Amino acid sequence: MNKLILGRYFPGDSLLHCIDPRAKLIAGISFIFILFIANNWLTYLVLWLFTFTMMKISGVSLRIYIRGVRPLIWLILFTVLLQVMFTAGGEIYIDWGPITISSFGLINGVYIFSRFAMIIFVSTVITLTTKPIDLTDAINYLLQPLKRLKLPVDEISLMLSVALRFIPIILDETQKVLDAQRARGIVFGEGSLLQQMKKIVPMFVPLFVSSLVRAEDMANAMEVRGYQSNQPRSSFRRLHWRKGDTFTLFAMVLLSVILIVLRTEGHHFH
Amino acid sequence: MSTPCVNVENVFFHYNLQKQEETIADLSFTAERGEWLAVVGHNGSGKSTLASLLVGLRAPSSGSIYINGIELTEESKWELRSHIGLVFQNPENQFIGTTVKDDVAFALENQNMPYHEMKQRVNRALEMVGMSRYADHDPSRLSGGQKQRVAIAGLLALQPAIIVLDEAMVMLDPKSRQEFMHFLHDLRKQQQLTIISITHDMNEAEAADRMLVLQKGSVKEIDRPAQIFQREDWLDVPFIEALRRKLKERGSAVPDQYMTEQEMMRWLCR
Ligand SMILES: Nc1ncnc2c1ncn2[C@@H]1O[C@H](COP(=O)(O)OP(=O)(O)O)[C@@H](O)[C@H]1O
Ligand SMILES: [Mg+2]
Repeated sequence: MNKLILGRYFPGDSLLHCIDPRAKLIAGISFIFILFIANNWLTYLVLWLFTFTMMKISGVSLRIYIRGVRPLIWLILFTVLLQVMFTAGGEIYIDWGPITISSFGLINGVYIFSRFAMIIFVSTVITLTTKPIDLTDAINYLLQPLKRLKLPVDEISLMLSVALRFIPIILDETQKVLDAQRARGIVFGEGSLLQQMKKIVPMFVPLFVSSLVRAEDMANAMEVRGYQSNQPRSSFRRLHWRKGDTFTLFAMVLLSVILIVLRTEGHHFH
Repeated sequence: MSTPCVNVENVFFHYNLQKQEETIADLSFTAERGEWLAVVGHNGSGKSTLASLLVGLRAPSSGSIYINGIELTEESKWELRSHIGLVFQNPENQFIGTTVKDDVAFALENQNMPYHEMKQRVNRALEMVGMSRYADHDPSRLSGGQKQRVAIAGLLALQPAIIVLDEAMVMLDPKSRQEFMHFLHDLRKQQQLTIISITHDMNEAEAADRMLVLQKGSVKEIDRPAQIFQREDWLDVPFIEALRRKLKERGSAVPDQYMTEQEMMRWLCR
């Protein structure tokens, strides 16, 4: 239940914790684009250096990051394998018709793997150092222009923040139900698949019912306290843009400039 | 006579549309401005239902409710939301904000209140309930009593003219409950606040101006607490009344009518 690292916040007071969530979000998204500038080993080295520096600054141990990649490792390896096998060029080591293992293929595989790993690491850095509610606020802020298109941006972000309140409560509740079932002598993770599924079903019924009750209670609480959608609301939570946040964005520009200088011109791997 | 602050006229309500079993049956009563009305009754007598009717969460199947002379309807209820506040019986699912102070601010945000005023009111309300230290905590991780304090703070921040408390202090320790009672009594004097307090605590009920005994959804009695304690012997009487009855049983010449703490003290020390 507690294995999911992506999307969990680790309280702390590192430099990264103090950066405005909007700056972090913009930097994170631009990082994904910046990744595509890199096309040789030097540029990838710079990116890896950047990624590891961020992970180091966040003050969260490397173990936690590795754990974050683990659920996705098969997907990554599969993609890398496809890249390796279907890229030709350079020195060819194995040649089975359409499937070749070549030097270009291997290099490309390493690059693809790096991209995946770095995207996951950097987004993990962001979620580990930013409170979910602050991220919601940042998303809300950045989506404001979409209000012109009559998109219910404020409602969506309130929904997100209420959902965020729900998640830990529901996880706690799941744990309670699991414990209650264990106390009745049910052993989880044993027996055939069918037997295991049979054990899971009685778990979901109470969880489902209590979630419904909870949702109704919360809707009532919101109504009594005067919440109406489509009504102007002020916001008690404030985001403060500081000099350091502008500097963060500047750092991203600098990173892309360095990469553009270092990348190989006119010679591309695919 | 001026219009009563709360006026309930021949209200009927039932949950189950199939069964014609009335949860609230021909209920009528009034509460004056600045009055403290205690509502007592057995479990299931309809006290919480009454609370939800008073704040417009549910609509009576017949009869009317007037708040400050304005009839509570689908249209008027939003306007009236800023005049009347409710603390629910179950503090579990009434939190919307991710931190204590965000939650206290929720009703104010809905009023579209400017940030600076919100900040003042939130700080003041948290001070009043003694929860300033917990301003940045997650409300779902607080103890039951602390949750109730936060819920009350959310209500006080709104500064409504009428507050409805549905067993809102049961989880507080006796000393804090006593303090809260004094605090609310003072607040009521200062601001002409009308308080409708649903309670099982007979010491609290005794301190009210009037007491309403609810039975199967209708008014069994509404009168001064002293009168009611003398007539209704099934009620858990306040400590002094219990003492008087005990003395009586033992054949002491204690007066036959209900006595306040001071009267009892004078009688004992005479
Ligand atoms: N949401 C609901 N749906 C159906 N019946 C309800 C609901 N809430 C309460 N009741 C029923 O209405 C009656 C009065 O309940 P309630 O107002 O909560 O009583 P009290 O607060 O005095 O203990 C009870 O019989 C209860 O079972
Ligand atoms: Mg109740």
